[in-house]
Amino acid sequence: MTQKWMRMLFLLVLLGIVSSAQSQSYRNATQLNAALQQLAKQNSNMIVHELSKTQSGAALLMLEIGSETNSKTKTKPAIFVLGNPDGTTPLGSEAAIILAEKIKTNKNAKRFTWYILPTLSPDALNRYFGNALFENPVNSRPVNQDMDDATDEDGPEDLNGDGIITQMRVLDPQGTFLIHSADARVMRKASGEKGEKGMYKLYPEGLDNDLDGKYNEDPAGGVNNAINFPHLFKSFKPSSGLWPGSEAEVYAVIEFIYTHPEIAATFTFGNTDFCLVPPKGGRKGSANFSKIKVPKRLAGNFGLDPARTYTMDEIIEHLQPMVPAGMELTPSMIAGFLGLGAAVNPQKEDLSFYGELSKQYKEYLKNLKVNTKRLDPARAKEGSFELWSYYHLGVPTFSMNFFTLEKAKKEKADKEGLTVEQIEKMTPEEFEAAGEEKIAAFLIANNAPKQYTAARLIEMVKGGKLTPEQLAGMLKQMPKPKDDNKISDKVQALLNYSDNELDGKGYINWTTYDHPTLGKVEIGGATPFVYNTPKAELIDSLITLRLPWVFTITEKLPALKIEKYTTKALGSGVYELNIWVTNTAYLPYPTSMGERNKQPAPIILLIEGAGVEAISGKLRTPIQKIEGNTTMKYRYLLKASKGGKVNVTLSSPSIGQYQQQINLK
Amino acid sequence: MKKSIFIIMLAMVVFSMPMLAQSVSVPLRFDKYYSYQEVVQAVKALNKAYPSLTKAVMLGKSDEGREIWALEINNPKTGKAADKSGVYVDANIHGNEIQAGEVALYFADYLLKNYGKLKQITEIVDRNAYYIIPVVNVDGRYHFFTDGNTMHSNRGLRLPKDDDRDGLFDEDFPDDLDGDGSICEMRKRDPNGQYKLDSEDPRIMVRVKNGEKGEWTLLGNEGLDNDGDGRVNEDSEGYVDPNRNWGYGWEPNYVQRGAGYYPFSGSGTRAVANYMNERPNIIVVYAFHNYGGMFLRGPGNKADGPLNPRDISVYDVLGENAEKIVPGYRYLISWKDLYSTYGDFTGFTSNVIGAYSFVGELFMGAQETYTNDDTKETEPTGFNNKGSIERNRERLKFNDHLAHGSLFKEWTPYKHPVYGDIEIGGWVKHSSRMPHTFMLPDLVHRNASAVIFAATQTPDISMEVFGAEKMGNNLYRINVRLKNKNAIPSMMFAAAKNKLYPKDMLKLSGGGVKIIAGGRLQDKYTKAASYKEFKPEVQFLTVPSYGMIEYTFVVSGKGKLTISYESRKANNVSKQISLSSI
Repeated sequence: MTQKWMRMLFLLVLLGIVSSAQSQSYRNATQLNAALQQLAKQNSNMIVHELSKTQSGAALLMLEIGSETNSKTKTKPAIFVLGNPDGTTPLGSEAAIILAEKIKTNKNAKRFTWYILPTLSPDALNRYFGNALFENPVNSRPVNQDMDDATDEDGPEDLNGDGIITQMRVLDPQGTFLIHSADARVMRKASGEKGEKGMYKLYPEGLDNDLDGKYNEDPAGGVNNAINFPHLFKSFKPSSGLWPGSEAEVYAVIEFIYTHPEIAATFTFGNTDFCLVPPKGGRKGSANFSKIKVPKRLAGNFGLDPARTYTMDEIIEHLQPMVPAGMELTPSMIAGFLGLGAAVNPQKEDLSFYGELSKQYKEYLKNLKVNTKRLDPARAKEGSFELWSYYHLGVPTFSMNFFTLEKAKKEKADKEGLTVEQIEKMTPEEFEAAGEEKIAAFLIANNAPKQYTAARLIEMVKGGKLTPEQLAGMLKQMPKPKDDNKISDKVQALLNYSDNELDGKGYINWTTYDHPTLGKVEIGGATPFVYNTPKAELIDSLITLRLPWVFTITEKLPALKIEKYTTKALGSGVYELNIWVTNTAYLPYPTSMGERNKQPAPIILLIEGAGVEAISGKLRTPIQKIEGNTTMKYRYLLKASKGGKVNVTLSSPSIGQYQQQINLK
Repeated sequence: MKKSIFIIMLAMVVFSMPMLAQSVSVPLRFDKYYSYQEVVQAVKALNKAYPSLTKAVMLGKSDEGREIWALEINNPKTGKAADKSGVYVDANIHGNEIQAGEVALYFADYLLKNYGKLKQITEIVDRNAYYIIPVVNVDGRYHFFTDGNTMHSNRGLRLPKDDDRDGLFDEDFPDDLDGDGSICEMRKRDPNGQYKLDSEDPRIMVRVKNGEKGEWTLLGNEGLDNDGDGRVNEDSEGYVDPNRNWGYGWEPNYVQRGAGYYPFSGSGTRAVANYMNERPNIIVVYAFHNYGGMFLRGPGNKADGPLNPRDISVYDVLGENAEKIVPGYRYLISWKDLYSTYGDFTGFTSNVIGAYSFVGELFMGAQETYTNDDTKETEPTGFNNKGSIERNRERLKFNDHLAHGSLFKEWTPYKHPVYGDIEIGGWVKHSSRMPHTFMLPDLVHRNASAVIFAATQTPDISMEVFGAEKMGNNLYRINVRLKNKNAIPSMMFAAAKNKLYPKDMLKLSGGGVKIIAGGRLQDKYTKAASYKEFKPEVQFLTVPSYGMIEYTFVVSGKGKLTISYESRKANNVSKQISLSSI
């Protein structure tokens, strides 16, 4: 039996199916699953759950780590970790596996149950390991992308046999692209405004398999699981899916999370990085808190005027005296009450902890001597797991990106002008002192709307109508200026990385190819995955460097204790009981978003004792909100027999339980 | 947790027990309301009575494990169901809206009973496929009949929700204190009360004017403070509204009460969605609810934008006829004339299934009359005695002399553990939102007829080959016309615009035949056409409402040419012509 098993293991190792948690190379979906199985086999506190299967039959396996793996209901809070949501960040999957290893030895990690899903899109991940490198973040559900008479019939082909799907450029009288003057490898759009005429058409590398004049417009598969979640889901977009949660993988994750109220926070290891760059606001459609109209039916009851608009502060000021003492109205409470619709921008209160933690993370990276002059992480997409977790679950939602390319060094000419970052930090006086000429140049360089003249802005700053920080914030939202002579930061970073680190393999030189329908073409361009997938030998070091931050954050998740209590006999069997409840950690419970969506369950302060009755206070007191590092006092008048005892339990599925026995005397 | 599982298991055992007597037979009865079990028996009985025309399909189970059944009607002699336009009717997605189920059953019963007897019915049975789900919210209907309820309660899904945010789920239901099956109201004599009795009919509670002395206090719905938190009946079943749980334009619970945690969190809504997705031929949807007398079309909220104008004209044909078929009912736009909804059923079916979709809001309280003045406009009555005193007096007389006391529970003394001596009384659960059974036959027939009208308007596509000519050696021009004689086009215009699924196809093929050119014919006299550059042998199109579309092809070769029209939602047509005969 053992011999047979050894032979089997040897065979599996040969086939590369069994791999250790140490990452020397990227793992495909099968290997990731094998790694989870192996971890579960080696560790008594780990088990594997199958959440779902993909259309291609791949199992979506998730690892559970903790002291309660045998029990369906948990007393400990849990962290849900999603690696590689769309399948195009193999590094995120590796990080998830390495995290499982780190949890074993981390003391703080034992406070939690950990649910680790190394990828949400095994089918998309496997494309990284295909015969030709092709990046497409969709699962294997057949979707007729081009709405013709066949499905998944026109995918790309590696025509030049270099193992990479890149692009084809072909001279065409109707072409709209030109070769970039600064680097002949780069294509750019011709500027009609400047009187240029394009010369080239660009296509993804491949054949027109269905002979409809379009190239590679209906490759295998269809829905991007990473944009199939319910927050800001976009209907009828290519690859978004027919409805939120239409994909089995996504539905399984949603269902799992809602049946596990112990989940206190989520982490995503992919292209976004909420640890470094807090979730972005600035979306339209959100309630404008500076111009709120109060519906007629409510206005009358509260002495507000339905005809005019109010700011959020005005409403709070007006309503605060009407609520019970001790209850503090917050903007999110008002927004929910007035039916201002779904939140589409992060709550102000939450951005303050995101901002503070981001500062700390930058400091952490600086101390590790990490070069932070890198391309920005991606913004979370509409319909993504990250946004859904923040807006719908209302739990602290963090994400980490373990690798972006180094930014190209700015040319000197750039340094002379003011940057948005410099403006952001300026005081109004400094702004004024910078002078009209310099500010005018800055505005042109940053594509400011024409009505924003330097003189006018200086006037506005002077008058206190605008701060330099607000101006910088506005300009950050503007599309980047069109400078046809400059290669974009992203492409330049890739070119440099390719030249310096990959012998040019990250950006393929164009070579001619005789195409059956297009004639003479050139094949070349950016190599997929290079921008977020470093060489395999770097996996361990990149991840190990940043991963401890996960534990720094989880230490800050809400923790409860009964700080103090007092009892006092008032005579005739009546006792006064005061209890001080403290959140000993940095983060509030719940987040402000959680307060608005009322999704996180209340904390329950329960008083139990034989024959004990409450005269004042409720034996079962729900606590809907407790800020970080804050103590709240609860007062009871209890009727009890002499020498009575009460058990006080403080409990929340996502924080845990705290118990205290109190003698009434 | 364990306890609730046990209850579910117990419920499942009870349900799987065979009924001792088969009480439901064909033709079905519409002088009574069928219980959930009887509805299932009715579906099976129809299937048994018309085995060649019907299928009974158990499409899924509810959150408490009850079976959801569909009756499918198709005449296999005229083709497979999937090849015909699908007409879908469902009902009772809100558990308390029970007469909706009767409309769906009547619709099925009527089509089957009259097949081969009435020409119009025979034609629409032969031409379309029908998918009928009499009860979507099976748990709701079951509990509405079995438990104590108001006319409004038990709408939702049996998915526990902590309404009062105290960490406990569904722990404080109303209680049927007097055990009569209805949750009525509680009143108590109170010298400081705000209510007095109506001078003409003391069953009516009247709010006192300022300064006037009251004698009674209204204590709300019948019930206890089950969880001892000082509030009565504040955390009842759910609440997930099964009509806010669908995957189009869905918004979470804090935006709209009843949304559920995520789309299709109800196992019943999920099962129905899967069922519909497996039947892509569905082009008409009627979903029946109560109350108010309305045929509603989308959009469900303003943000969704106005519907495509060409779709609106199709809705108008169906809606304006429905208004006449059911007198008093109004054809309205859901968000504009009623209120905004997100993630509702017909939003899903019109946008994701691609079907023209109506909500039928059954029954108008105004039909409960007791007057000989037929010129008088009866004011509509709200729920819970909220109409004028005069209207309430009339309703009570209707109760006394036409319903013989069955709609109103007379105030009866009761000893309440907290409130002491009280009286329980008021409108019972079978009142207010649904007709007395003597009015049911009229309601089910008229509303089923509105669906029958829509069924006569499903696309009926025919093909004509015209103006064929020889253009030279082995070179021919062939023109094809596709005509639709009905109001419903072969595809919703919104579905085409949103690229929901590929358009219909006109395909030319034949051994030895080459399609040189082909495209949409703009002028059959000048032969002006927009030719498709690639693959002219496959053209993508939709056949409009009451109209036609023409194509022209230039073909070369010899032999037979097959011209076929393939549609997801309309009937397929094909023709073969011999080039040598041109």
